[in-house]
Amino acid sequence: MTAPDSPLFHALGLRKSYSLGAVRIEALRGVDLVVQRGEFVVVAGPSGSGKTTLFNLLGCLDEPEAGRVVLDGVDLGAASQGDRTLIRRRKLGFVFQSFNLIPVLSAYENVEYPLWIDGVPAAERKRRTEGALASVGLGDRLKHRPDQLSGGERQRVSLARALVHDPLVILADEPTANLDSKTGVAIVDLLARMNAERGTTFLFATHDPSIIERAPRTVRLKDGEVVADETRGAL
Amino acid sequence: MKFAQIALRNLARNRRRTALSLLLIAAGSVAILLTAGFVRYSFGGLQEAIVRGGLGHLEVGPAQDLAASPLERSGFPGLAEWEGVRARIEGLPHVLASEGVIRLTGLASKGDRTVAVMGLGVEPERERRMSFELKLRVGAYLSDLPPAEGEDGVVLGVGLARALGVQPGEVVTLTALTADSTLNAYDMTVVGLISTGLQDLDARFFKTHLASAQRLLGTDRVSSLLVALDDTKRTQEVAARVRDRLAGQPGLAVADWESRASFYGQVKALYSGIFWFLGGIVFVLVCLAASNTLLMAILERVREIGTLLALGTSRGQVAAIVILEALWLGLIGAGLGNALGLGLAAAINAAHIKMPPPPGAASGIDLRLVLAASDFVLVTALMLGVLAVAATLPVLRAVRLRIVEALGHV
Amino acid sequence: MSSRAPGRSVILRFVLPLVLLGVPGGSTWAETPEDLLRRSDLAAAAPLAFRAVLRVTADRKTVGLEVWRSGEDRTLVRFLSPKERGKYLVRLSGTLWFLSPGAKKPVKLAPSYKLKGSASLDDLLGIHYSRDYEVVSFAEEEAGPGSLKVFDLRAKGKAPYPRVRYFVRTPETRPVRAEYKLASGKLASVVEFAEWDPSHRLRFKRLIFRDALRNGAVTEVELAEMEERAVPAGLFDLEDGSERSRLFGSPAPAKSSPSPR
Repeated sequence: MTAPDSPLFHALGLRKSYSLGAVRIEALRGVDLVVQRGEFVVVAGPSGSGKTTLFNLLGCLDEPEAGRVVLDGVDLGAASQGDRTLIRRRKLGFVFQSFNLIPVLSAYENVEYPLWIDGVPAAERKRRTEGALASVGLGDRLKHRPDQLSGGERQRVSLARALVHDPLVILADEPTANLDSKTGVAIVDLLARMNAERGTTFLFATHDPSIIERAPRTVRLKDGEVVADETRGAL
Repeated sequence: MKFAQIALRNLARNRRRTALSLLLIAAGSVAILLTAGFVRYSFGGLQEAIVRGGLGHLEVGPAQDLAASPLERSGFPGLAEWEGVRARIEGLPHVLASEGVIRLTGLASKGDRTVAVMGLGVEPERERRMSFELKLRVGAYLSDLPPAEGEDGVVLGVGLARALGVQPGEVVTLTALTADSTLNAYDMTVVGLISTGLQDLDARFFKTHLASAQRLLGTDRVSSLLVALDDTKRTQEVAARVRDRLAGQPGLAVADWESRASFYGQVKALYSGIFWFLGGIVFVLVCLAASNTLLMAILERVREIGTLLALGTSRGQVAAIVILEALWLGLIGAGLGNALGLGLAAAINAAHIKMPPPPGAASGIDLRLVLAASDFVLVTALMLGVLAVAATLPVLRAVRLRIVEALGHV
Repeated sequence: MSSRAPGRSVILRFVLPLVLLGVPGGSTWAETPEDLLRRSDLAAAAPLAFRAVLRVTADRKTVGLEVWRSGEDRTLVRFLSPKERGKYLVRLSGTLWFLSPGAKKPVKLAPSYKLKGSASLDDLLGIHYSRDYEVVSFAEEEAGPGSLKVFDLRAKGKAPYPRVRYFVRTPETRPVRAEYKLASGKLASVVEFAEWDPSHRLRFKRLIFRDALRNGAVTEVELAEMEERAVPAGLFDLEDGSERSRLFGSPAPAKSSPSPR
């Protein structure tokens, strides 16, 4: 754990490539990024710009071929498999484009899940789960399974799940891509409110211009490189 | 506990596939149960056939004689004062009765034909009390009362009678060596023919009254005492009591029926081998099918597993979910199979299906299945084991997933 | 012996010995091994009809047997123990029968049946080497004052033992030892001619049998009495035991064993 004013994320010279059949694709070509605590950063770029790859590396889901990521003072590359699991469990939250809720768990259980696998006692779990659900505006339909919820409701559940364990940062990779515009706006507003009220750091990947233009800070990626990093003001 | 809930709910996601898997596991369970029931019944029947066939539950005799296998025992009757030994045994609980027997070898002759024979001197009245099967085929059995000299009777194996060319009512001469190694011979009237169930033995076997055998051998001893009980399950318990009673007589040993029936041990080993072979086949079949089912389920949930890993679920926890799914399948399938098996066994027993007669028997016996609580436990444990093994490949597949690839999986 | 022509008998009894006396070692330079075999054969020298009493000892127990023989093919053995009264073994033309008071009909036994210990009836009566065997080989060994003639004999037809090794000491022309072998060549038993009746050259007093198949178990046979005499034919009647009863008395009463309850 580093001092409060030190960067939350410090990515340096990240490189990552993939094989697509016989072809080698360089998804990231030396990306540097510093994210401070409490920031709301939108990572923008067209399809194939490397947004998802960058999020995977920052989110401890993958490892770079070159460069390093330091999260909260911990070099992710030097962490063991078990440490990386714990980092994901405790310090990170994810909101996926396709919601990625567990189909056999109810809305409540999906939100409760990260606390449960971390061994949080039942009473504490209940308090925090209910709190997270309330903060995303989901009071009822808690017993429903994901296939019984609308897209917007599912994304709220997903967001509550990402928040419930008080992570240092939430990585949202195109969370509104599968929602209608009205719902999408509502979700973005929700994220902004979380950021303002709880001080949770957000990294938000999108190619939606209406969201990009509202973002306090936008990092633009093109062909695996950072081409712009603009700070505007509050969302 | 929640992982168990998740695993159970996962099974319900594809009901048809789960139902088929359960059916397969249940079928395997039923196969094993019914076989176990049949084997248990057969063993029980065989035990009784052996004991009531003349072996008795226990044998009391000189230690060095009992140490040799029945076929190797050629020594002269060595148990003296046997009636006193018998009196001490017959008072014990669960003892039906006890008979003195003499084992002897010699020659049986009729006219020019002489055959080497082996036989028993028995007490017919006690044989009846001990519920021994007499296996009489033709004529009558030996009389209860000890015959006077010159009135000795004998029952011959059917093969022996054929070899000598005699029928009930005719006289054969039995010759044997006495204790002094001198020859002795007596004419005996053939009263009946018996069949032991073993053709080779029938060609050499005879039975006569104990008194006749003693007269022939010039002795008042017996080879040993056979003891019959009212319940085969009490054999060891009664054996211990008999040993206590006879503790003051060193040189006497007590042998139970199982140690004297190598045939039973061989049959039991054979049946067990067949049973475990069948179990092995069921194991492999269920394992392969279940493994395939579980693997398909994993492949359909790759992105979900990726999500779980992304959320901080450890690979061990992911493995636990997969294994628990397998174990649920095994448990439920085995439960179904146990219930089905119980019902089928009851139905089969009620149907009184006739089986062909076993060797030595004149008529067939009902097909019966005898199930014990341990059978159900065994089946359940076996199926849990099978499914645990079946989960190996799916578990490995699941825990080796790369998170990024899994999340990108469609 | 009684079957020989009188003239030949004179030569053998008077002329031949005179010739023999003059020859060192007591053997004639013209005598063949077959001749020597015949001259040392106890069975050949035995009277055709006789009564003998044998004491046979094996396993530290001695039994008395009375043997009645008439010709080569009729022999009766009576057990002298009072307990065994009424029991006989009768051999007729090679077939051995057992007669017992408890059995109306005789029981056929194997010809090799051992009467006592390791001695069969053939062993006790003496095997007829010169009649039933042919000389396969013949050797001579030095042995003390005389010499030992060693015959390897093979049964001509049916005989108690397929092969025999027969040791005869000269000049006494008495057997010392005979080794009986099975068809495989394996040694079955050895008989040692331990003691001789001083009144007869070829009448044994004591034989010792060693059973090679039973760890050298020893059976000793002592000839207690020997009487050359005519033997009533009725003794060998398998159906009618009256002659036997007349000569030997009625059979012993059967041993009654206590009846088991």
